[in-house]
Amino acid sequence: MKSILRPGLVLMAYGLIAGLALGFIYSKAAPKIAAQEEAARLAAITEVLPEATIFDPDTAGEFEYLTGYADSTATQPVGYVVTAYGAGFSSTIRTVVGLNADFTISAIEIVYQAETPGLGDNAVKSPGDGVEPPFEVQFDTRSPDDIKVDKDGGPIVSLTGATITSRAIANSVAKTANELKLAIGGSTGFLLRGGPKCDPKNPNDPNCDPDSLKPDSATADTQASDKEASGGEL
Amino acid sequence: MKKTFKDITKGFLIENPVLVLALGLCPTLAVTSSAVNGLGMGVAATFVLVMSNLIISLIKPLVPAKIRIPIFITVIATFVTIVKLVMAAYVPALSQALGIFIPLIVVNCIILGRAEAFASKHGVLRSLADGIGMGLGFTVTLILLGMFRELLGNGTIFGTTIMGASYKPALLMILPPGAFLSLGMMVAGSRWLLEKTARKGAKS
Amino acid sequence: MTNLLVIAIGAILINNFVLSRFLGLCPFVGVSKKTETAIGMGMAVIFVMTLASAVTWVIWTYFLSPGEANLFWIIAHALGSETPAADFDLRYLETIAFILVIASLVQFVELVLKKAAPALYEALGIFLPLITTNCAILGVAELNTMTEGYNFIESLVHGIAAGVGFTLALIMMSGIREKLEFAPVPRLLKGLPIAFIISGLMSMAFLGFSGLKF
Repeated sequence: MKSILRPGLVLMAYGLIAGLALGFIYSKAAPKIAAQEEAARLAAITEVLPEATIFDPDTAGEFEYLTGYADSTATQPVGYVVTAYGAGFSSTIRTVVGLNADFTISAIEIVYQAETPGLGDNAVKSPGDGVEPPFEVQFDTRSPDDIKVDKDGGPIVSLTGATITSRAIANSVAKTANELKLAIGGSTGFLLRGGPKCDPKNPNDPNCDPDSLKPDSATADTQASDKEASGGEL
Repeated sequence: MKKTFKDITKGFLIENPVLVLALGLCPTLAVTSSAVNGLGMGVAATFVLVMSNLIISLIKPLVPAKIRIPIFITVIATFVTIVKLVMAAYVPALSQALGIFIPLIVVNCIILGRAEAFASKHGVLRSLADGIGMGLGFTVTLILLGMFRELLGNGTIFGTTIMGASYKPALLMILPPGAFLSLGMMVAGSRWLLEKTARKGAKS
Repeated sequence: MTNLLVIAIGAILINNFVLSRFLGLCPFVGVSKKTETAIGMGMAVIFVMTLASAVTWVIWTYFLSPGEANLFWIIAHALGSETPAADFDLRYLETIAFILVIASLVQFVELVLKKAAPALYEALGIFLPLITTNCAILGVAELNTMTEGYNFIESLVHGIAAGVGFTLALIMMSGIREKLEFAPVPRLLKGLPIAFIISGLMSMAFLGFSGLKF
């Protein structure tokens, strides 16, 4: 027994010293590592929605997304940021998608891919420092319904020899954008339920209650009468 | 003094850890798809090698022979974790590129091998020299292999484009098969070099 | 269920540990000269990898990761401390913890083999304790916990599959090398260089699995 105990205790002593040394180093390095990770996360988000400075995390069902505002006083969102996952050729491609308030694409940034070097990974190749990769630029300002690769009849030019990669990115971006649009419920979001009735000639006015446009909408009438009853308070 | 100098230089060719002793093969093949990754891994591994050689030759009298391997492993693992934390804090891009091969430095046979074969039997100065020599040899091999693979597979060296725009890169070189093939040729090449220097030595 | 199959096929064929991930190369070039030793080594590696995947996952989830499952937090909480679960982050001790666990497991396997299969123990010789430094074992433990975040069953399946993939590559290599003994290999390429070149060709063949989907 003694022959196992003594070496065991010696090993434990070494382990303890090592653990303490590492704990010390970790306490010094941890804040820096956390700052690096936060900066990396923020970099992709501000890249795809440059007009927004404040990002509020939100969930709609299983959907996690960020709502972007121009500043802390804004009530209208500048747009939304959501992550799209696409099954590529040899990896699951992660794309950060920036959407304008009307759900057209503001910009996309592919943050993770392990596709074939020289073929699929040309999606993230940029001709120089600070220049967006040409494949990603193709998505800017498009409506999600427009986003299809050329082989599927759409305007997005596929990468040479990487149809699967291109299709995966395009389809995942389009699908996620459409799903978000459905989840949030239209261009005005749910911020202004109970607001003033909309003018049918201007249905996309962000300052009015979208429910008021529904024909024979019991909600619209009740909301209008509730509003009157509560003295016009929102 | 002459022996210490030899300890440093032998790591380059005669006892090159990768090409002659066939140690540390996993990181050699995995990280040399670009020269800068090879350099980063080489520096990280050299740091761990030198520091653990140093500490182990210092604590020699305090290590019971029966449990010396676990103790060496603890020392090496401590320095590997230090390298991992420092790299994640100060060079996150390189840390991401090298991935799981940073913590895998702890099972790099070069480090445990030198600790067992050299540092536990020699004085501090010679152990230090041995660590530096082996580490340098390892790093130089990684850089050469990385340059070779990057040049043929990407047209660049350390990120700067060398081959013209019309050069179609041989993608195979930066994929796993290219790694194996390049290393095989490098080992054969180093053998030829060794034989040549041996013959020259015999003649003179 | 399909997820487990995807993980298994992934580790054996698509991302073969030796030929794609570059893990486990030292024993790969060292033990692959004879098929019998290759099979024996492969079996030992599968056994150690499975055990290692299980034990390291438990240590990672219950001792190192921050969260409600962390045993240290549970004990502190039970004693009345208010420290949040997220503070108990010991993940930076992962390298030390894992490698010491693996070293002990290999010692254990050595003792078992000595009693149960002494012929195999003799045949493997020095390579058995060297399984500790086999990057594939530490590699699979790391992949299970830090990189992919598998749950227990997924980690176990991944560990077994990784071992099977390693054994597959090892047996293929040893078969080729046995035949190679009779081939006229150029003098400079004999031994290590030709082994690497063969591995390169095998790796090229395995590249063909990379688009595999089911």
